[in-house]
Amino acid sequence: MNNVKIKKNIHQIDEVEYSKKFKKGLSKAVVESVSADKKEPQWMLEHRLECLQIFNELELPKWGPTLSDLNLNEIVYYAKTSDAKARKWEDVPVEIKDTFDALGILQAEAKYLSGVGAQFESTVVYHKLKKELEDRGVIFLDLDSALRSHEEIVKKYFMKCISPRLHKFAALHGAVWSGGTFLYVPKGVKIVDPLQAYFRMNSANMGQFEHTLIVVEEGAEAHYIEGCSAPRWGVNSLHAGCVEVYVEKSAHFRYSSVENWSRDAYNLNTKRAIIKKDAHMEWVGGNFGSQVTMLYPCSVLVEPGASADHLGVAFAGRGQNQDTGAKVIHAAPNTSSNVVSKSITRNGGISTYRGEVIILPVARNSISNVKCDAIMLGDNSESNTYPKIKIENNTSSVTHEATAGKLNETDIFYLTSRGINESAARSLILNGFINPIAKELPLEYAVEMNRMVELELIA
Amino acid sequence: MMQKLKEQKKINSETCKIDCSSFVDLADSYTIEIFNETSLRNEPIKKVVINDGTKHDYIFLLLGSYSYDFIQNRKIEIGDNASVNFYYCFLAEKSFTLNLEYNIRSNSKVTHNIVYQTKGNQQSSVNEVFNYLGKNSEGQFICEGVALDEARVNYNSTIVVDKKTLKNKADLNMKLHLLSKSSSGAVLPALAIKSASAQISHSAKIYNFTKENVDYLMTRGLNMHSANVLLKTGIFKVFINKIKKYNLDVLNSFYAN
Repeated sequence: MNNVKIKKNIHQIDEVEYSKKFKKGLSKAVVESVSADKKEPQWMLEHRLECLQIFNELELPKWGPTLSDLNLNEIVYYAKTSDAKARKWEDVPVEIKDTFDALGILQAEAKYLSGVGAQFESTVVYHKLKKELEDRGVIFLDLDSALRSHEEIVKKYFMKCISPRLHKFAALHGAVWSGGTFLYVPKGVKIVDPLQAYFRMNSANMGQFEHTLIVVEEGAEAHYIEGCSAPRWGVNSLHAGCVEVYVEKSAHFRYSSVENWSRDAYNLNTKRAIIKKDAHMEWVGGNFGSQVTMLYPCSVLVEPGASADHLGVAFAGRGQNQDTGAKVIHAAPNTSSNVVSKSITRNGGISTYRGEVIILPVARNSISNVKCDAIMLGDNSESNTYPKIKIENNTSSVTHEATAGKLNETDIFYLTSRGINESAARSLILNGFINPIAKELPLEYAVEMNRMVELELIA
Repeated sequence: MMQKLKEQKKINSETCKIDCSSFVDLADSYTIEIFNETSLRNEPIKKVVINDGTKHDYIFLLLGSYSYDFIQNRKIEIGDNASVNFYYCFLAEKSFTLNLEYNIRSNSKVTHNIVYQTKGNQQSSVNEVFNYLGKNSEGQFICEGVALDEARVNYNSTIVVDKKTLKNKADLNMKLHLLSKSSSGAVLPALAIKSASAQISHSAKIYNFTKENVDYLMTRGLNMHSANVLLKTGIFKVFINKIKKYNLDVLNSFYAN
């Protein structure tokens, strides 16, 4: 084992010792080995093998960014550092603990979080929930542990919201998923402080396939945050996680994520929520890193009065293709949705909003509003908007607005005439541009997001 | 008349081979095409070239009944320094598909107006692409229509701003009113912008007439049906007012009915 390096930023490599690391490539034997290593029940192994078969049947998406440089045979599908999962940071291997310490996870837990999970490569290394929430019946575990201790609940919900037939990477995820979070909030329980999980992908050519399964029972409320990062290796890595959320009657759930993978990662994530009567779901997302991102959180409003908000910001710099958006399916009367998407592109980056709002015939008196704004900096940037709207009854309404352009020169002039230099003026305007989304994140993340925008501008 | 045409930089309407009772009137500075009868099917691509510096109004009317669904692809080249207004009105009784591709060069001003009504089991489909290829051009693209009965509307519109272009502006506005329980619509107002100097915006709305609109008219003594009819015809009235200087009897009489 090599010495631990002192980290300067989140894209540096951590040198750690692995207790198990598979060779590159995907096969039936790999899938069986993952399942065997986790000592899973037979139904889960069968599910994995079925997903593998679907993965082999499906083709790569024919739309969106090109994935031709992603060689799935060069990906390591499973690696773990230790068999034990810690409930105290002191028990986490020191080199991994240092990583999460540098990322600010330990401090955040102490200051304002209700619970924390930390995943390194394929397995969760730390998971803890505040005692008072445990006493109220809240379950916050890594999904592997939940599969052992709460098998019936997991079996009831696992990949019911996201079908492996949805697309090739959902099927791949179903075959090789590992780690992730299981959050169960019982009826009527309201969790004030957020819960957080952090996912770290460390090896070259690594694939990370964590599965997040969240069930918020009737009248309950919770806020869950995910953060992601990876070091820069110069070879492709793959993140194909899944997030499934079930928001029951009159419940309220907020899912926030800040994805800051390294610039050689493919982030092909799938997120979907099923929202029931009078329940509300909020997706708040920031996408900064990765070479290619394809991420379109989806809300399915299945009962009357259900509603969803999607807030997203994407930043695409040189060599980055951020293809993000939202999908909302209105499948019941009196449902509503609101989508706000912002993007900043510079130095040849490509950002795309790709969204879809579908209002079915039964979803009478439903409303949806979609707003997309893009700012383009530099000559070679590209900004695309593809908002598809489909409406099948005459008592509902959908509105969509989009703008794309550069920073307003009048605004810059106004600020510079007040004594602010041009660089600071640009930064101020950009921070104001993303503020509607940043303000919905916890303060630490909002500050980090603003800082990232400034750093990108300086770069 | 011919003398006058020669004096002007008039529109050059190429390959306009249309086997129907339509006419192309190349008068002073406008073109009118009316399709209202007989058979139309899979016409070849029609290419329209608006020469440099031309000021022109182009009016396209698809009216009444005809034997087959109307399908046509059009490629419209707009030269430098041109100023062109396009007016399309679809009041046909059969399904129609119109694919439009505009290539807009430098310093031009383009407005593009579409109004339509679909009814019965009509399927209407309009696919537009506005390619900006030069600099300092401006475009305003408006589309508004109603769907009745079991009609279905598909409307796709894409504004493409090329990489080497400069300071182009565009605004796209789409509205679709679904006026019956079984009508439906799908719209895709897309943007593909590769030039940071462009200023582009679009908006789309699919809805029925608002309750406030209808209520207002009902407080003035109209019943609900009449209020809806008035609001519907209002869309076409605005359009007709724009082109009333051309005294299009055929459209006026159609509208009156």
